[in-house]
Amino acid sequence: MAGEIRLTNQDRSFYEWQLDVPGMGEEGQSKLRNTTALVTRLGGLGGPIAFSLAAAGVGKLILAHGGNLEPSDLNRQILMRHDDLNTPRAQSAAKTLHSFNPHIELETVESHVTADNAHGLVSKADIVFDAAPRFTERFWLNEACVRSNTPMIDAAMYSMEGQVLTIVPGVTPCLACLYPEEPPHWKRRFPVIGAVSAMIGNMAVLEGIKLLTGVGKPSLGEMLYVDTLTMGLRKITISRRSDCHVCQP
Amino acid sequence: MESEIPITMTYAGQLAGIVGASEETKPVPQGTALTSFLRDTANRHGGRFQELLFDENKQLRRALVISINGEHALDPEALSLTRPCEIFIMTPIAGG
Ligand SMILES: [Zn+2]
Repeated sequence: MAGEIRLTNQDRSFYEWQLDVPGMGEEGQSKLRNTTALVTRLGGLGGPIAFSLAAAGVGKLILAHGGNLEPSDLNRQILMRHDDLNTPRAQSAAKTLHSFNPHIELETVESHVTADNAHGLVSKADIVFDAAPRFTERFWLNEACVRSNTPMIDAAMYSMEGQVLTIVPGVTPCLACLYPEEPPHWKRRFPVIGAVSAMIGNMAVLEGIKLLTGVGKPSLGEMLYVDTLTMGLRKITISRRSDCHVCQP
Repeated sequence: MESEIPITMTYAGQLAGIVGASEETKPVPQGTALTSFLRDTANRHGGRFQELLFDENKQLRRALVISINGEHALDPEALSLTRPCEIFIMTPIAGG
């Protein structure tokens, strides 16, 4: 982790209810305080992810999201504000986060993840939260994380279902082990209720917090699948592909 | 005589929507190859269901998530159904 920022009395006053969570304490909070997390993107999943990371006191958030805010974003992108329509989404999200928690550092990147910027973005982070709506972006991030040995929490949803995969390079399978090729049927536009994406996003945050602090047990090697139509939670044991072109030597 | 075993298919979101149910159970002869069972299942449901499972060369799509009793089936072509089990199948999702 970069830096050794100690908790201040002000930090303790903000997070005192969280410090009481068994296993968290000052040590766990300090780990969060000293963590830089990359969140990409900041939509229905990434917005709640960034919000909950800010609430938890993660010291620095790198917020990557391109494009301007559109009316159709507002059923789920909870960091955005109506007043910011037609302005950069990353800025709108950063404003909301800053007013919510001005004591964490925010860096905005007004771009989605690309093949060119993935490694640079990942290299600045201790952990990555992947909430991109295209498989290509997810694959670039996965590869950059595996190459740099950076953990990545991959969160995805569609309509009333969602999944979370915690990837720790060298320990767990990677995203390419789960999806060895780009699915041809995936379309950029997908049905979404904001509550579903927020739920899946918050599950991803919990996986990240557990990984960072040692609280509880992250789901290593298991994909969490949620069906909100029935409120069913399923854990699927995922294996590493011996021919994975990303995580195998 | 070949004995039959019950196989429960559990479908995730898109597939459940097409089938109109999230679960169905079918008896199959013990030892049936998994891909053969999935091909029969796809033929039975046809259309979009079939497209999501099999490519234009009638090969099982590699990006499907298939698990048997909670274990990811990495190489479905190599598996046979030798005992009653639950097969969970989902199409890849990336909504963000
Ligand atoms: Zn892999």
